[in-house]
Formats: sequence, structure tokens, C-alpha cells
Amino acid sequence: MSPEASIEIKAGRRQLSAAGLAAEFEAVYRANVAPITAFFARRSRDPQVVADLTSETFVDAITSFGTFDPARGAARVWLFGIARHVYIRHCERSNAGRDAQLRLAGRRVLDADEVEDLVARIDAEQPGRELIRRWGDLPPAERLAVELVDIVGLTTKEAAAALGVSSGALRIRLFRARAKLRSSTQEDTGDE
Amino acid sequence: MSSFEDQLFADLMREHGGELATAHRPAVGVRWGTGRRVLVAAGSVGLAGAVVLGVTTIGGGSPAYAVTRGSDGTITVSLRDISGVKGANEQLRKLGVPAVAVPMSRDCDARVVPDDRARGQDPVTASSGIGGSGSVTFDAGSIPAGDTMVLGAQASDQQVSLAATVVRGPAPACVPDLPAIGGNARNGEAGTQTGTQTGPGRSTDGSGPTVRVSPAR
Repeated sequence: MSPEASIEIKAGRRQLSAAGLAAEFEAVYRANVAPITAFFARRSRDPQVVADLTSETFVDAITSFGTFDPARGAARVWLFGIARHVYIRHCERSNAGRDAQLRLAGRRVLDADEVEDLVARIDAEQPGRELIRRWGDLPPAERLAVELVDIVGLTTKEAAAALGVSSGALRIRLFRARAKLRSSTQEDTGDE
Repeated sequence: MSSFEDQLFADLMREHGGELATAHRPAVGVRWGTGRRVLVAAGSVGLAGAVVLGVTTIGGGSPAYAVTRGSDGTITVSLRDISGVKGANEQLRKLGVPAVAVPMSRDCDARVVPDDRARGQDPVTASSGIGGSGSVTFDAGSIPAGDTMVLGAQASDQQVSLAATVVRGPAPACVPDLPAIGGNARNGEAGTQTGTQTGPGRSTDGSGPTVRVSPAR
């Protein structure tokens, strides 16, 4: 056994150095930036909007990283919880015509390579965007529940945590949403 | 990593990286707050200079567990195999030591509330990796009356993990897993907790290093 195999955790408060916390944030970022970008790419075809919302999510994440407790849930769940709030704020801003008031950190002019990169990601989310469009009749809460479980791949427990509801409430949303979608599909088939 | 992702990360660190330096993460707290863990690689178990109170072997080979009393009266519990939990607990019970080894897993929903009274005089004097076992040494006399030293045990292919904390009342049936440490990512998730690596300490068996753990705060 090498001494490097032993790792100490001091009691009570995790004593992470600034470098340790930065390394931890980078790991969280790199593991989750793609699914978070995809989450917004299913909601907008505008590369600048997708970039802004992704940036805003991670600005919120890095500025509150000290409060993130891995013992209470996976980083992906935490980030999707932030992304959901970011998107709600975005919709509120859009409705109020306050897009121009986006935080500076969330508004960055993209270069050509980044636009090309994001356009490819937006194109890749076309099937997901189509699904969400077809789910348009569902209440937003049910639509989000189905998306997090069936597209993102979170467990019902994780999706419940991301949405801030109990697992039971999440399962009810899923049940209702899937029942409506089945019914809608049958009606479509019957019309043909 | 794409052009957008790299650029965004660079921007984040430039604009907000400094905030990480001043961030203070709250205690792991109510779930497994004073836990400490030792990860060790597989090898042989050896405990010299101590009175061996109980040992059970697995497959006629290395001991699954060992409970020993040191010359200073401290108790050392070593687990090399998860099957040794039962034997170790029986031995601890015979000795009247208020310590219990329990499985540690992510599926465990038990609420573990460390006793803050134990922080002033931490009963744990050392945690070490000896061969393939996780080992914790503690002073049973420093465990507050009515409290229990809980030893969370978890085995993987090449490692045994052991975490210790003092709780009020009896031990729970299990303890929640500590988050992944350092580069030990699990389930495709990035490692979410970084510990302080310590250098080699004294060797208790002459064949492998022992790593001391700082007293609890």
C-alpha cells in the first residue's frame, strides 16, 4: 500500500483548499456542461440564448459552490435545479421585455467557432425539441418531469430533488403526463 | 471539450474563480459530519505491538477483522473484509466497548447526527491503512456516556473504506456513504470531495505505513 492511498477528511467541516475547490468545480463543470447546454438547446434555437442561459447557470453554480453539499445529492441534480430557475427567470425577462438586462456575466459575444459549436448542439437536440413541442399541451411542471426522467435520464428521486418536490409528487406528475401522452397518441392514430 | 465549453470555463474562472478561494463549504453535518475515511489498497494484515483480542480469517487466509487493545489502552478495529463486521462487533460487545461497525452505503437513509460533545476530546486517535484493512484506533474512555462510536465499513474490489464518528445513543443499522473522494469518481459522476493527503507516518507492523489522522475540530 502506498501512503498516497490514504486520504484524510478532517472532522466537521471539510477543509478544502482554494485549489481543491477549484479542481472540484472544474470536475463538476466538465461532467455536466454538455447536458446543461442540451437542456437549453431543447428550448431555443438561438445560439446566443443557449450560451447566455448556460453561462448564467454556471455563474450561479460557481458563485454558490460553497453551499453545494455533495452529501445531499449529485452535482447534476443540483445543476438542473439551478438551470430550471435560470430558465424561469429567462421567461419572465422575455415576457417583460427585459432581455437586455441580462447579467453581464451571462452575456458574452460569441466568436464564430463557438457559434458553430452551439449550432451543432442545437441541431443535435432537434428530436428532443420536437418531443417537447409535442408535449406542449402538458402543464409545464409535468413536461419538465417527463423531460428530466425520459430525456436527461435522471431517476425519479433525482428529478424530484431537481424540481424541489417529493418523490411521490414527481411520480404523480410522471403518471399523469404519460397517461395524457398515451391518450394523445391514440387520438392521433385514430384520426388517421 | 468544445470551443464554447472551454471558453465559458475560462471566463468563469477569470470572473469568479476568486470566489472559490473564499468559499466555505458547510459541514457535511447532520448526515455524516465527523466521519473520516481511510482508503487502502489490498495487501496483508499485520498488527504488531498490540494485544490481539479477536481475529477471524477469511478462507483460511488473511484476517477478516481484528480487534486489538494497545499498550495505552486504546482499541483498534481493523476490517479487511466486510464479513468481519459481525465478528468485530461481537468482540467489541464482549469488551464492553461502545463501538459498532455498520455497513456504509449510498442507499442508506439513516440520519446520522454526530455528537458535538465528542469534538472537544476526539476519541479517535488514529486511522490507518494497514495492508488491505481500514483501521481505526480510538480511546473508548473518551466516548461520552450514552454515545456510540460508529464505524462505517464499505468494501470495493481492491479497497476497504472505514469511517468513524460518535453519535448519541445507539448506532444506526447503516450509515450513508460519504461522497466520492478526490479522483475516486463513482457512477460516472465527478469526484465531489477532496481530502487532504497525509504523508507516511509510523509503521505499526514494520511492513506498511500508517497514516495518522488529525484530531477532530
